Amino acid sequence: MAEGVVGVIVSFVKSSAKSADDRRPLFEKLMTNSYQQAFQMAYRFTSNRAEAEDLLQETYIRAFRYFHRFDESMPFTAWLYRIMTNLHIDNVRKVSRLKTVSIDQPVGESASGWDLADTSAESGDSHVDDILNEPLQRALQAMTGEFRTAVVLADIEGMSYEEIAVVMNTSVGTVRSRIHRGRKQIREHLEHMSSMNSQEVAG
Amino acid sequence: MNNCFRVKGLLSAYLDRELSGEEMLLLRDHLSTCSECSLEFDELRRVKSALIQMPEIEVSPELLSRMKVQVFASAAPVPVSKSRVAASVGMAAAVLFLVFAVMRWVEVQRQTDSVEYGTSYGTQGTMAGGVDQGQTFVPVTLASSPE
Repeated sequence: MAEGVVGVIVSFVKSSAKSADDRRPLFEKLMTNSYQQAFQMAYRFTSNRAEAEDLLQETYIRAFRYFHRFDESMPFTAWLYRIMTNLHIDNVRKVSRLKTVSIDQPVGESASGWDLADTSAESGDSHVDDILNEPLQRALQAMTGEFRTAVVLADIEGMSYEEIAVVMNTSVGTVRSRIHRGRKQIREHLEHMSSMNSQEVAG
Repeated sequence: MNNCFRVKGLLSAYLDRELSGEEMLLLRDHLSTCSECSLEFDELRRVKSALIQMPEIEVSPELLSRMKVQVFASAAPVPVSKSRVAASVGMAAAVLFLVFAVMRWVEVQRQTDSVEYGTSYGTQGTMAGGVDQGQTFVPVTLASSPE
């Protein structure tokens, strides 16, 4: 009887490993279909091509690792964006923590009154210069991580508040508040930049 | 104007049509009479439409192939199969434990049944045996204690 039980277990393990391999073509197909749109989101999160590519790659690595948990009745992108959002928020928090540790060091450009701003994209990458020419992307970069995530999901991805709540693992009320405060941050940032520019012109 | 504070907090949700019918009507009526809230609403609407119209960023042509290499080489199904194996081993342990537990239980039940049958068929003998055991035990304890 014990031999029978062991046999069943061995065949289960073999079939599990086989099913992981079998799912690779499906994952590859989903990846091919989703990466361009997913890159747009990664870019809006990070404001930086190199970091967007890293974030996207990390997202797919994690997605493939946990692909056996993916429920195929759900849209793949919703699941993927949830992974990406979590990774992005984790990255933002890590950078904030590093900033807190090195608080005595000069922060240079970031001392513009945007205390909670995410400066993860200011890592000296040469692509940053191109992006910073775009005022709106610059405003996104300066936003609080959670606000930016909610605004990007709503306005770039066109998700409903309920979908965003699922992706961000929070309540619809919190999503509503984050989107509103996020848009206000963008507006204030654009106003701030506009007044800075007019001062420069006047000077 | 008393409504302004409440209305301002709902402007983005109104813009996204994420309010209840009643709230939508409240906002619509208020915005038609309050220029301050109306101005703020227009600014938020401009922000949203600017975000929607952000140009698409060109994706580098080799990104997909580069990512595939990383995804399937380094992170390949190794952790997946590891977790599967761990799950399988756990399940196997649970199944074996259950099998042995059931077998043991059946065995105990059989023994209990036979004891019960024994008492019902020979009550006198068992009782006598019990008394005998007690009687043989008592002298031993008495013998070990000083008189």
